[in-house]
Amino acid sequence: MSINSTPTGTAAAFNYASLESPVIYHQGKIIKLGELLDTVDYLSTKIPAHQHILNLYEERYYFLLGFLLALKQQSISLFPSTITAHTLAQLHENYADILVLSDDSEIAAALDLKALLKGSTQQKSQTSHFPEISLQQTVAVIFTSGSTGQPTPYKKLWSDLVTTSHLLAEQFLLPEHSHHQLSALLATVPAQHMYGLETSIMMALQQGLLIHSSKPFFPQDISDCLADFQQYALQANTLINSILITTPLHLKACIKTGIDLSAVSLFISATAPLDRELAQQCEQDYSAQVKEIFGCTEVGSMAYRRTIKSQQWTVLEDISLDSGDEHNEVQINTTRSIKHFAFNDIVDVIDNKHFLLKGRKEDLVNQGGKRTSLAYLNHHLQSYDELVDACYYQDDSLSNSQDDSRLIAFVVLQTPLSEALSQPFSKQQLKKAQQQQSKQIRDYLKNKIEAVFLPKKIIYVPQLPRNSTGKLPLSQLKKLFLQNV
Amino acid sequence: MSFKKSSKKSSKKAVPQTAESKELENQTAQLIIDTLNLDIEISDIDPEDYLFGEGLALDSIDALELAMAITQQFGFQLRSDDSKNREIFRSLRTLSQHIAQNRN
Repeated sequence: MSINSTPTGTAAAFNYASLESPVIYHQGKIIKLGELLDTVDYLSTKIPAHQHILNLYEERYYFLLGFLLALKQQSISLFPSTITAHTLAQLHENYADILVLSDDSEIAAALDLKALLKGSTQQKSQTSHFPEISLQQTVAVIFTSGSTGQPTPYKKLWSDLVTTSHLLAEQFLLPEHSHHQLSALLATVPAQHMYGLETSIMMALQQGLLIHSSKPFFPQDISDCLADFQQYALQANTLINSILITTPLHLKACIKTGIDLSAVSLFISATAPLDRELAQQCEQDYSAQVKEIFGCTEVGSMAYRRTIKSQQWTVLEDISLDSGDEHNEVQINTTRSIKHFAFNDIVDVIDNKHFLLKGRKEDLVNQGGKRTSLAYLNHHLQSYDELVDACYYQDDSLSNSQDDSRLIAFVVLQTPLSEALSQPFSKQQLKKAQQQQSKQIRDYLKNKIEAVFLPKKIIYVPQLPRNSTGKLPLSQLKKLFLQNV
Repeated sequence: MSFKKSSKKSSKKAVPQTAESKELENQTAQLIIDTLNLDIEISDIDPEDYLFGEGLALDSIDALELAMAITQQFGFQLRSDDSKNREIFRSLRTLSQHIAQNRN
């Protein structure tokens, strides 16, 4: 497929050597391509085609079944950035005929594939046919949180996902991988986000790699999953090349707890820039390369680097950079369906293929790899009834790295707590009242935004330092913060 | 892993608390406060209250930070054993019981 022209034609959903090829390790068992396709076949006879599929599974086996079912039935997979009661209601308002796939009993009207597959006796056809997918087909809609309370959708064509998976494979997989050893992917990130989708699902399917179904969380969980791969390698008498798809947060936890990850042959990190020293230590401790992907929901994976070798990022082949305009807005051009996009981050363009990352734009928030904007968070915070004014604030001095500094909120209440309490009151009583108030505000926000974006501290102030145009200068917020801690 | 609240609050167990377990509970509370830079005191944490979701409303980033601190202080690795992870992180009490069983 040429990447320089509008893609036409079709591309396969996967490229495994045979129906006997191992696709995914799930619950102590290897599922081969033939069995996987039989299961998708069975599901497609039980589940009528829907326009949209909301695939919420964390276990990649069930995610993969839902994803392949969507491809087979030409349904569009919806990937919201957060799952709260609020975002689910918004999705149902904006998209017709959504099939929700989930094993979470709290999600209304969800179909659980596990229940559907329990006790089913599938025909072993071993000749399963899976259609090629038109490159122009919209296969997914993936959302950013937007800035006004409405998530912003981005359509992904099959060509978008196929192209990036091939470009990533060129950078991250050894060319001889399929001949001598099996490459296996383990990911600590969700399959529903662009990074996880492009690497742990698309790259795996397109390159015929083995996937681990689990999304490990603690360092020990990662180590346990790697042991699963090693055990399979022994049984199958093959060599396995394990690749860990993860984030700076998880890498830091692995290093700090001294867990043994020597089974990993390559670490891929994304969602926030990786600290160079951490990468260095990781390469040393685990004798494996650490490479990073830079990307965003809107465009997908855009650039890569090996952290210890280069500060610079090199963009993927289908992307070129425009040097910044007078507003210092750097634009990327690409043959992907989005065509053009202005960076969310502040970057220095070196040439049309290389750039340096200088920091996040003031409005951008990154918490443990999850991104949103301050505008979005402020929108929800300010919608709380009993306050006059409020804003989020991200203070970099609380943390070593600006990317994981936690969020706080300034709140101006209609009735200040000091007036609401009966006089006289002790400091202790005021503190208790503040804790209760903060709990109420957090409970309110919980239904609207993801837990990592809840304010870690809420500071009650008589007013916010708005200037004559109503804006809140960062320098003034910093001052307010320092006065209150 | 998911830190959603489980359907019912941990029932008060009839097991009497020893001075030793009370001390470990306080130590664990202090570890949580220090690690997560919380603006509260040990006495502000109800040992039976949820750590995640409700109560202290900790999140997944906090959980990893806590895992690092627990490994460094008590010398063992946390593991999310299927449904048990919710049990371990349910409350200060369950977390400190888990530490008591696993510490080196």
